[in-house]
Amino acid sequence: MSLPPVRPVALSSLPTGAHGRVHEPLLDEESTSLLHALGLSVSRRFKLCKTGEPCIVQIGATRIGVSRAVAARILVVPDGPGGA
Amino acid sequence: MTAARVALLGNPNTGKTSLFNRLCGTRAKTANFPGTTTSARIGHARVDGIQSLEVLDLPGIYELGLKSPEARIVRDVLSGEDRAHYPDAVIVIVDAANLARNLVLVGELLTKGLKPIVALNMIDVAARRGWTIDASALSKRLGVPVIPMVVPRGLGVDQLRATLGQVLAKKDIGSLFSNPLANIYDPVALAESVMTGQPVADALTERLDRVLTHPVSGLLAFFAVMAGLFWTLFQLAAVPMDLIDTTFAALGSVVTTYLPAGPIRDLLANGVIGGIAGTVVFLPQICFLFFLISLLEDTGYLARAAFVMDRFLRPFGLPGHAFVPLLTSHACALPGIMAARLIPDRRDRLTTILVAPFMSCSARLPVFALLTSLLFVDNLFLAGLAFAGCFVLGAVAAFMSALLFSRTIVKGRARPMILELPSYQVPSIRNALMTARDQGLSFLKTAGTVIMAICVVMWWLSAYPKATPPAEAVALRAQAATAAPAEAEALVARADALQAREQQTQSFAGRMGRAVQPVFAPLGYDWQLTVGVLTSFIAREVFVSTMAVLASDQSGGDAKGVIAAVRDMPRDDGTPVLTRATAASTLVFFVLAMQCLPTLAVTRRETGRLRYALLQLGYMSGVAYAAALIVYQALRAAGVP
Repeated sequence: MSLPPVRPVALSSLPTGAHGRVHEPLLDEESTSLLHALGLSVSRRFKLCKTGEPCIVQIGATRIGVSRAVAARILVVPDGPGGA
Repeated sequence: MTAARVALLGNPNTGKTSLFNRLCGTRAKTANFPGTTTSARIGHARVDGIQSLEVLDLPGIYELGLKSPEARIVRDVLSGEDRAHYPDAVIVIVDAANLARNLVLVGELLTKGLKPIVALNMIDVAARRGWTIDASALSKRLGVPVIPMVVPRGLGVDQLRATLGQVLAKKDIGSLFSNPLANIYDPVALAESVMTGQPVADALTERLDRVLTHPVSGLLAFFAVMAGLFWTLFQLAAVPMDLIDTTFAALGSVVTTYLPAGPIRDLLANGVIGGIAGTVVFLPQICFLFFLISLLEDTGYLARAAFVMDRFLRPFGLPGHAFVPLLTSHACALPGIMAARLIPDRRDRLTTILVAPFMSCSARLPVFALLTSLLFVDNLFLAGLAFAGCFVLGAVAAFMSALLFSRTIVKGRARPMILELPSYQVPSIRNALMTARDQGLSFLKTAGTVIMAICVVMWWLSAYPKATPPAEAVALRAQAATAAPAEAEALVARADALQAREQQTQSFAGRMGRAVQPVFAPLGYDWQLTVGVLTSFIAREVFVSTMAVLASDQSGGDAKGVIAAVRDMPRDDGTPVLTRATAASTLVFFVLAMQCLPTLAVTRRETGRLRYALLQLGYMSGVAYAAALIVYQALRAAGVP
């Protein structure tokens, strides 16, 4: 029996130290392009280093700071049962 | 090959500026890219076989396809749209510790058919994080030369020069370039295929980020860093500024002593030397500020500080980055406006530049000191409170104006806060020195020439036409000729004061004051106060000396001191010029008005548009006039004399 797929949640709702993958950034085109250029693109695996303001995400060796408002608009799939 | 050009590009925070400085040393200049206010550093490097090699330091970008102005500049240069900067070769600097992300840009260049030389920098940082990168394998996969480097230590620079010489001379090119073997559209897989090792967690960065971006400890750290920065700035800049002041004063004395009296001597001593001094005196502050900011930026801290301040400034339409320019403007708006270059978004930068002169600068201090002491003659506490209130009023005006601008003339969606947080590192003194030198020269070349011209013109308006000495002054001098030495000195001083007042009254500036006075009448100003306001456009502190000169014939020479003399100045009808209501109105006017033509020159240069300088002048003067009018009329209505 397979586990049900994990539903995407906002990046801002994850706890510090959580790992996951980007599902969909619900941001304007310019911000989405910038996140993509920094490495935070769809399906990329990340580690959430710090929650709050700012929210700090690590992709590979790149650390990206995003405001809480931006983090609330990035949908991610956290690692875990059915998610990783 | 006799002459060639190489373009240097890469992601931000990859050590591009360090590499540029290594290649070019001090042989660099700063200019703007065509049609933009983005500065380009252009230097000259020595490479075997090339007589003259120009190195163009392009703005740092993450991807060519981004919509930012910086990405557009890079696209224009690489496509040949910007013909003046089209390169013969391209070096792309890649951060080995962030390989996958940096390879996106390399892939874009290859896709466009460009064959760059890859400078694989920070291999030491990658090694500390547990990664070894096979540069040779990466070179084969990309089909371009890859040079492992540690730029701050000079490692790999010679190899880069040699490869560059080979590429430009088109010598044995086949050994350097081939068709890419890897899928350049998948930078993650490409990076992983050339990296070996086990990643080591960067515990120090984790800990520092937790402290430096925390709502409380981050704020405390920010204020500590800023206090340190500005304390150091004032300590370092004070000595050369005093030295410049003294040197130019001495030079003026030499000219006055050795040249015969006349217009040439006046022009040299007061116009030219005064104008150069008025420009050069800002240089230490500008150089030291950029030196310190460059050090701070190199450490990686500024990106964290931007987040800490963003939550306080964003509600007013300003970005977190605006804090440094606004704080610097408390010293002087000139370096403050130049420091706005730190702000990545053009809209945010423009808003910051437009409101920065509201912050009370040091030139306003003598005016505040004079007027607050006139307002509260017998109450030092209230005078001190009013003094502090001037700073608060300036800051409130700046934030409210920023809010207004961000919703009107610089309207647009606020750029969401998304920043790369670069690794913490030891800053490069060499880079900071180069930055300070570049910014200082750039200031002298562009703003400096305008500022000097303004100073000369304003001097001329105050010094001409030459007034006939008043009869009383002539009589006093005649009396001094036969008096005892001590008495003669006092008589000559009195005669000088009378003559200076006559000159001030009869000069073009004085006549303009009388002509413009009706405009300022609703604020309670007579012609003397209007002349004081008009001449303070040279620099605000000139108000005090102008008022002192105008007050001199009522003061009996220097016996009463400036404050008492100005306080007792009568209008033509015998009533005091500065009542409590006019003093309050003048104080508010000086807090808010744009009375600094050098600042307008710098605004015009930094925004690239005269209209923004004119907007700043019109807006600030309008706000100052309206606020001063309200204060004067309200106080008069309340029965305050």
